[in-house]
Amino acid sequence: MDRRTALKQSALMAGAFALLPSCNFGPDRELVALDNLQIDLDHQDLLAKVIETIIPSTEAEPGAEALNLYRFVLVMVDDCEQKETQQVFVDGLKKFKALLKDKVGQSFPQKEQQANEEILTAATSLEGLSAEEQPVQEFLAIARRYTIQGYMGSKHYLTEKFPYQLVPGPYQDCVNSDGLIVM
Amino acid sequence: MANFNIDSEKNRTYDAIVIGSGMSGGWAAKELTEKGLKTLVLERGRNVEHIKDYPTTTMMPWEFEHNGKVEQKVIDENPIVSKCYAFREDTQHFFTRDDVSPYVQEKPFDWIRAYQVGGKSLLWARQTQRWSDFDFEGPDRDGFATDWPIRYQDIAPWYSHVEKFVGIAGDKDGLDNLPDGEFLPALELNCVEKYFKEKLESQFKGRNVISGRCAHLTQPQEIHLQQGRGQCQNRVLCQRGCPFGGYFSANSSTIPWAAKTGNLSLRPDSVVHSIIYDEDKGRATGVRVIDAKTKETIEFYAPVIFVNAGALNTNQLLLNSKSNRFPEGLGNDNGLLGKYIAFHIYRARISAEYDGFLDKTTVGRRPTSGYIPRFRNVYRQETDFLRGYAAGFSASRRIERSYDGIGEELRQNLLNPEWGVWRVGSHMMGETIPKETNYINLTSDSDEFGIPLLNIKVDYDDNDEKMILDFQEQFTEMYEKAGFTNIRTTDSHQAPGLDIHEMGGVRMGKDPKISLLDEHHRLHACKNVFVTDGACMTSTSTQNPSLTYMAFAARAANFAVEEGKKGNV
Repeated sequence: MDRRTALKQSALMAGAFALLPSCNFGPDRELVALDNLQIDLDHQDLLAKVIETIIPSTEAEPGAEALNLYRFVLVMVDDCEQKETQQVFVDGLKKFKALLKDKVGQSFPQKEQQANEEILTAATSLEGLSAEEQPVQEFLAIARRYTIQGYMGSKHYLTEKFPYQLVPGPYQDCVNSDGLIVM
Repeated sequence: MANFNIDSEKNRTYDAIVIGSGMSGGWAAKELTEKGLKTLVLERGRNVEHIKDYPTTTMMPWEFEHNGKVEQKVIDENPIVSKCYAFREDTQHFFTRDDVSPYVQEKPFDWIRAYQVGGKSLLWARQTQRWSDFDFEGPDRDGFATDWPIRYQDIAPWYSHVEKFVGIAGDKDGLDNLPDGEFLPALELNCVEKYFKEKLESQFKGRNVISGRCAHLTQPQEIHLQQGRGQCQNRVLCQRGCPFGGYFSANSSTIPWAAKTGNLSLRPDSVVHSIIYDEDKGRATGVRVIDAKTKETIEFYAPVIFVNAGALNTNQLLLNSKSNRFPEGLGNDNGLLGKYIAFHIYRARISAEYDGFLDKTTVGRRPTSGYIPRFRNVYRQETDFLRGYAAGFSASRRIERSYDGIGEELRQNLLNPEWGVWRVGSHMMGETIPKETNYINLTSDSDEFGIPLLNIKVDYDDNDEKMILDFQEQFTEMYEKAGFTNIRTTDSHQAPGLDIHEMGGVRMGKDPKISLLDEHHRLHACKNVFVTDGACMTSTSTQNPSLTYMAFAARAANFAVEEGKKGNV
């Protein structure tokens, strides 16, 4: 996806969310094909909303939704994690809404990004959770880790922000770092 | 029918057979074909053609589904090979999976294999330091293994021969313990590496930091252009295979070069079962091959046979080449075939920080690092352990980035990293002492080709443990004296094998009673079979061994050609 498409999509998404705050993605939504994780469309949409909260798409900047990061998070957990971690992830995702209602007294998602951020922060900092409830925080930590990895590994990040050079040219062994872009 | 058989046999007869197409086999093939010998190269794995068969070589990071990570399922199914640092999402297709011709670990041993045309020459770390007489004279001086039958002067012209063709970047450093060679311009040390070099060399006599000599074309010469290779672009994606031919591999260099002579027959998917020994003639006459695809057995014949299957595979093949004359394996009159296996110690690392040069950094990537040649026990025995270690040394400017926050705050953190201090690090490359108790042998179980599985029993010893501690102590002191801080040493306790420098088992020596190969790499007891891969090593020293294997292969191949002209083969 190039930057222009990403921006267009993020604009569309922003519009869609304004109309459909219930986190339904419309009739075109599709399950990501997975080998190990058992997740239905509603939970996939919920995950996408959590991830979009972590790195939101704005008019200026593509975020999780525009960069399809929920797909990256799902594929990584499905292919690159051990069984136990996969179970905790799915378990936590499924208990997420109920825990919020119980312990934070809020439903997710809300209309506003800021409200969603506050809910996630509150959920992350809950203390004294039971063994039954703990997977929610582990789920959030895994989702967050892969969201960040997916963002920093995305074409957007590696072309627009910190351009990756497949053929970088000569090695410069000692140059002034002032004002030089930090890779 | 009789005629057909004779024709068929004739069609399967060559001037020379080379078993293996990697680092050393490629060199044997190049030299033999250049000298006019019709040469059959047998490779047990699939064909890998330069550029054409490098499927990931131009892929961008985001084009990999798992951001470079190997899938958990693959790791679970391949606990051995997935330990290798170079086994990644972009390179895994060039490694042999654990379930292919598996082996028995009497002691833990991570055997990293790459069965394909080019073998591990596609995947190597490309470090090419010469041996000196301090290395060749080691066993004799220190009383271990057996004396090498050759010295530096025997191999020096062949180092030059190989270096000119391969293309080696390096400086002429003028060090006794690491002879200079035929170099292209070196890759530069950066400011902190140069600073450490100056600090070290002024405070510790005989300890040096140099730019690691490496097989990269920093300034291609005519001979490299003729190979179709060009300037190294510093991509440092080498293990994907290089579309520029910027680093040396058999695939980019020796194999196509041999093919160009018109004298090469390359047969991939050909697992050599055993070497055929003719009792009447008193020499080897050919090889039994199992076609990996059809499982059909085919014999090929030649008056000269080079075994370059890879150190342990070469042992396995010779052990499995049994005859009335050699019931314990070809050339194995003294029962030492498969014994005195050795390797390099790569367990210990050290890292630290340096807060100088905070206005400086590097740009781009560099396919080598600094190198600290062995300084322990070089001129005389001075520690309570034998031999010593070389080490890498590299420095890079740290990047600090906060991963805190959520939403826009997190994004801004990810988009606004800052320069940190410099990070420095070294890893040891220690010499091990070959011992009879470190061995490989054949088991009674066979693989899918009917070849007995290899049993490996190789372990660390006291000498190794003392050397690891010494590396940690010496480097801590060296780092402290350079003003480095936050010094941390680690010991991975990794099993032998993961160094991918397994050597020996068919060692060279002067005395047939206690060695297998003579000074020309011929089996003492079967003079038309040559071994010039890691199996021939009498001792290991500390240098990455590929350059020495290549020089050995070139030297032995030319000797075989000369002997042929004299009618001695």
